[in-house]
Amino acid sequence: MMTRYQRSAVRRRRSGLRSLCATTAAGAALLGALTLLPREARAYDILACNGIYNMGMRTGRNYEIDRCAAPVGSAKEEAIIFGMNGWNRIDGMYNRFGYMNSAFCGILAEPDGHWMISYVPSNHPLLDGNLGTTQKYNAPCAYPYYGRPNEIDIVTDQDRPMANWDELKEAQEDAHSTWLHEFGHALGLRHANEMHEASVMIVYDYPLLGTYSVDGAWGGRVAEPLPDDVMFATDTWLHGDGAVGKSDPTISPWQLVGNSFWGVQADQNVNPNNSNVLACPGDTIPVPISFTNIGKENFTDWVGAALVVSSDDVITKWDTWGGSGGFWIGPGDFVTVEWGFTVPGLGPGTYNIGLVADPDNAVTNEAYEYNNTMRTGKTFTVPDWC
Amino acid sequence: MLLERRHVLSMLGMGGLLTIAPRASASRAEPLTLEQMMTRSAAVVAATVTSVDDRAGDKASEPLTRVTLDVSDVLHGRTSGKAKEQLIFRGGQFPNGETVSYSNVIELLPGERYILFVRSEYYISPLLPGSGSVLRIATVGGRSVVVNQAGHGLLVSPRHGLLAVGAVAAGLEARNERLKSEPSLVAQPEPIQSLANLELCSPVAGVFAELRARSQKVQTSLGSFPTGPKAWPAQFLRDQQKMALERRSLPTKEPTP
Repeated sequence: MMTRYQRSAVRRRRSGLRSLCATTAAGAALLGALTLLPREARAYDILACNGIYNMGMRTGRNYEIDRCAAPVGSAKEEAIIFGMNGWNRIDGMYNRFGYMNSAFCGILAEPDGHWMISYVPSNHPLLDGNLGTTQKYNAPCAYPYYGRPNEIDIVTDQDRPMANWDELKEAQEDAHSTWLHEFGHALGLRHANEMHEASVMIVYDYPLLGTYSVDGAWGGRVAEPLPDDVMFATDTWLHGDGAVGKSDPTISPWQLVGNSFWGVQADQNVNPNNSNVLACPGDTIPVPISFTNIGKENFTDWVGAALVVSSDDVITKWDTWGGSGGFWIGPGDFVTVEWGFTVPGLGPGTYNIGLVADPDNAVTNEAYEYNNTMRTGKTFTVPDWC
Repeated sequence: MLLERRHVLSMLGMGGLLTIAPRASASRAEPLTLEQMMTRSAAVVAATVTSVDDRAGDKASEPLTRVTLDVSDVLHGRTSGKAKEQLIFRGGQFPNGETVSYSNVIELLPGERYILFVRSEYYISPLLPGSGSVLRIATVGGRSVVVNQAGHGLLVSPRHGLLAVGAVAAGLEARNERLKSEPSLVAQPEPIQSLANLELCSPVAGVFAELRARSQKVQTSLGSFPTGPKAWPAQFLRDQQKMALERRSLPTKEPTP
């Protein structure tokens, strides 16, 4: 509880008043035309002292790794270094994180001058029921220290799964991403709350972590911080205080956010278990889908999207298409559209409806390519009698 | 031309029903249902924060933060029955002005009214882990609504509990600018000037009724309203002493980007 400190949430307003309308390619009826209200979206959220961003690491620091928990050369050590390097490779952050091969076991919950990293059991007091905890000791919020960190100790749950990604497709709670997240705290970042933010600081990061690329390859590990994190790093490096209004270092990534999981018609649509319907080829199934542009720039053109049908959980652009379309939304905008999925000629069976964005890879300046496909949560069954 | 491009185009048999997009936080773990949250809570209360004291620790080595609550409604479980309830968090200010903080502690702000999921036993935060343990009651457009951590308005869903339906419209920039120009200000709550889908947000009384109704269905051994964090385990402390003796530094090695 940093009540005597200024919580300076640096946010960018990404959207203004937007008008949206839907048309069909054939000029069919306009079924809905609603207005998106202006809304605020935070790009990143940092702790500051008297308006000065100084409560995170502003210079390089070597952490002491608990060598009983993460021996040299172990997978657990690799996960830590993965998290460090994710931030280190950003311009202005290079080698902000380093480590020493100290020889100790465990971690101290007290300021002792040692910046320590450890894995601890799930029931460890410092976790207090969470996957990871960053404990920070900061100088007084006054001249000349302005709240700079005197010591940061970080722990994560030792039972987080490691880097076997075939087993992690659904888990999303691996050690690598947990370390990346906790090191963001060490830099002074607070949690992000907006689902569409491209940040590893989102408390629960699905679907930004672990999705399929357009070609169906599993590529979802966040090998580096996402665009909002890069913006934070660049802002604080260039300007010192993360002030708003600086040029944006990132380029238009975009994301499929979800489907009716977040819809106001939730009681009809939210439960995937109840979403399976019987349908014959040629039938139309309504599929609510949400889009957002999580980037900071406008698209240069319409972005294509396709509804596809898959007999398994892997959605790719090579699956059978049941319709396609396009959309254009500004940075930070978020829209939901209900599209009619036309069941293609299929044999009896149960199928997943998936969505593929930019199936032709026409958007060339995406910062993050691995969020372009998703299952909609809707399935349908083609019965024998069709 | 630019305005014309602010459109969604549907083609090839895709009829369009547009709606304003509601959002909710995604999760990398299976999100808890309201019943699960209640099962793990000693109490769910609606309360106004009357004060926050981050110098509440008895020992200089362990700062605590005391949050005093004026509880208006007990929606689940029970409190201690005092006129003013208190929640004690680990973390706060040392006598010399230095501070200790924990990344998973959700900040509660004086003057704000919240719905809090409080657990009986904890080491750092008396609130359930996860952002859903703190909901805020805000007045938007003359209506009192319940918003989540992201400032999204909530809708009662008989099947699914509380759904986020309204997005924050504006107001944060003004607060941030004010903080920059008036650095002596303490932390301010985020103003919410308007919400998308405000008309869909459930009234506060409706949210309370839903929580009370679900409370009746929960089988739980609630535990008592917390009086403070658990002491660090003795084994933990012994290990610390042992670690301090064993620690020795080796040459620095930097990770390779």
